[in-house]
Amino acid sequence: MSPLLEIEGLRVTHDGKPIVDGVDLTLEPGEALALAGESGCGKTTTALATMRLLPPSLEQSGVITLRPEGVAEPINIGRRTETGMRLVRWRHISLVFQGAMNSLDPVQRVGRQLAEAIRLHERASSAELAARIAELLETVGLTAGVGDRYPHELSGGQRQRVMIALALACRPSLVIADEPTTALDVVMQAQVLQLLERLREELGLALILISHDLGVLAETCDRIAVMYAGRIVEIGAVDGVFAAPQHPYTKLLLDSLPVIGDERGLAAAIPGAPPHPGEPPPGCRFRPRCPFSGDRCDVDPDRREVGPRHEAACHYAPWERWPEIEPAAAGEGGAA
Amino acid sequence: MSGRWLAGKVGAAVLTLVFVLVFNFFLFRAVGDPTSQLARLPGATDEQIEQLREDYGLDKPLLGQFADYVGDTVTLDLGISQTTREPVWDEIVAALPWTLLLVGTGTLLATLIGAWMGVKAATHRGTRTDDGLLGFSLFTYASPEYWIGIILILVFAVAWPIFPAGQQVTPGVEFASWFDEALDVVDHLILPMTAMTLMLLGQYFLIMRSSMVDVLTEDFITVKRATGLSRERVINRHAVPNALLPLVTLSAIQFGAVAGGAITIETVFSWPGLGELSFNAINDKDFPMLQGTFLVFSFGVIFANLLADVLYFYLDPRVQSR
Repeated sequence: MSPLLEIEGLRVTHDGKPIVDGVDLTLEPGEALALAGESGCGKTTTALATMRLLPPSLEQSGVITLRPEGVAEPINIGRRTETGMRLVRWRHISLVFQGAMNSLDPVQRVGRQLAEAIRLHERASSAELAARIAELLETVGLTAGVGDRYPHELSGGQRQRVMIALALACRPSLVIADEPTTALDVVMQAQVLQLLERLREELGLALILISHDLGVLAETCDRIAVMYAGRIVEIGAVDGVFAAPQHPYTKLLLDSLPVIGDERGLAAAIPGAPPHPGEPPPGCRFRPRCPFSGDRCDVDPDRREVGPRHEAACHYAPWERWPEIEPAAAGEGGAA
Repeated sequence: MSGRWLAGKVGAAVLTLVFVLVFNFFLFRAVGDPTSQLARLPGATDEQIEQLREDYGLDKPLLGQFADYVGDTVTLDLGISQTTREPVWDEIVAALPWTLLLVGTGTLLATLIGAWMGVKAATHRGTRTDDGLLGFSLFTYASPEYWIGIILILVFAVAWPIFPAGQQVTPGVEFASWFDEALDVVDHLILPMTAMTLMLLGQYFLIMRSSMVDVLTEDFITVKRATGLSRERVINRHAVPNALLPLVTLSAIQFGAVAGGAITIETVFSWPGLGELSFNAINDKDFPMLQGTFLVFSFGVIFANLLADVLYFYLDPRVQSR
C-alpha cells in the first residue's frame, strides 16, 4: 500500500535561514504519528507547510505528496496553485489547534462556522447542512444545540470538541492536531485524547499529533518522530523508541519524564538550549548538549536505519547500552 | 437580562446628566456676578442693576436660583440670548441639525475610509502601501483642522473655485424645489465635511490598523484559511468584523465630543452650527447661550457614550453574556 502522505526534503526558510531543514516523513492511511520536540524545533512549521499555510515571509521547498483514498492522481502539494490548494485544505487535510486559544471566530455562532466549512467543499441544502452539523456535534459528544452558541459561551473542553467536529466536517483522510490538549486540564485532556482515538478508529483517519508531552503521544500514537533544531533525529514505532531510544536527544527527553513511584525530585533537564535551526552548530546539531558525543560528531550525521522500521541520526547508533552520566557531567559535556 | 443591562446603562447616563446640570449651574456662578456682564452700559445706575437682578431672579438665594434653573432646563427654557434676544433653545434647535449634518457625515466618512485604509495597511504590513497610508494619516492627524480648512478654501474655493467657501446655502436664492435646495446644501457641505473627515481620519485609521494587525495573528485566522477559505474572504468575513469593534466604539464615543469640537471647522467655514453659536457666544460674553450650548454638548457626549455601549452590545456577542 502506498503511503497517504510523503514528505521529502522539506525545507522552510526565513530570509534564507532554515527553520525546518530537511524533513523526511511518511504516513500510512489510518496511522497516528507523533511529532515531538522542544518548542521552536519546527513541529508547527512542518504541519503548516503540509497544508501550505505558512506566512508569505517563509519560503518552503521539498516534495509533499498526498494520496487520499478515492483520488486517482496523487496530489503534489508543492506544485498546486493557491486556488488548487483551497480545494485540498479541509477536504483532505484538516487542522486542530490548541483548544482554549482562539481557534474559532469569537463573533460568529458555532453552527455558522461549521456550515461555512462544509459549504466550501460540498453542495448541501440547508436541511442537509443542519442535519450534518447536528450529527457532527453529536459525534464529538456535544448536543446539537451547541450550534446556536458563540464560542465564548462554551468551556475549553467543549470548544476543543467543536474544533474536532469542525476538523471532521468534510471527512478528511488526515487530521493534524497541533498541541490539541495543551490548554486543557488533565481530565479534559484525557477526554479529548480518547475522542481523537475513537474517531480515528471509527473513521479510519490518519493523525499527526504534535506535542511536547511525551506521555500524551505515547498513549495515542503508533509511531513517533522526534524533531531537533529543524530536523527529525529519530523516528520509529512508539514502543520501540520508548523502550530503546537510539538518539541521545530522545534518550535525554525520555529521562526527563518524571516516573510515578520513583524518588521525589526534579526531573533531569537537558542542559543548554536548543540552537536556532537557522544557525546550527558545526557537525552534529545536538553535539553541544550531548553527553555522549565523540570524535565522529564533527560530521553532521544522516538519518539511517538502526533497527526494524527505526531510524536515527546518530553516528554511534544503534546504542547497545547507554553510558552512565552524572547530571553535572552532562552539564560540562554541554560546555565542552 | 439584556433589559436590566440597558436599564443600568441608561441609569448611569441620567446620573451623569444630573451631575452635568449641577456643574453647569455653579460653573457660571463661579465666573463672577452675572449682573456685571448684564449691565453693559458703563453708566448703569444701582437701581438699574437692582432691577436686572430682580428680572433674572438673581436676588434670590443660590438654592432658589438653582431650583429655578433646574425647573427651567427641564421645561427646555434655557433663557434669552443676550445678543439676539431670541430664546436660547430656539437658537440651539436651529443650529443643531447643521452640526449633526456636518459631524454625522464627517464621522461616517472618516470611519468608513479609516477602516478601509486600516485593513489595506494591516494586510500589506511593512510594504510601501502601509508606509504611504501611515505617512498620510499621521500628516492629517498632526495638522490642525482649521489649517486644513483654510487650505481647502484656498485651493477649492479661491484658486480653483469649484466649491463655495462658506455658509450652508447660497444666500438670497429662491429654490425651485427642495431637491435643488438639498443639492445646494451638499455643494456647501463638501469642503467642511472634507475638513472634518481629514481631522478624524488619522486616528480611526491607526485604531483600525492596529486592531486588524492583532486580529490577523489570532489562531482562528489560520484555521479559517485551513478550511479552504481564500485570504480575501477570511479578511472580509472574519478579520474585519472582529477588528471593527474598537473602531465602532471609538467613533460613536467621539461623535459626541466632535459635535462640540467642531467649533473651529464651523467657524472657518461660517457653518451655522452649534460650534459657531458657542464661538459667537464666547466673543459676546453671552452667558445664557454659552450655558445652553455647554448643556447640549454634554448631553451629546453622554448620549454618544450610551449609543456606543448599545452598539457594542449588538456587535460583540461576548458583551451580551456579561
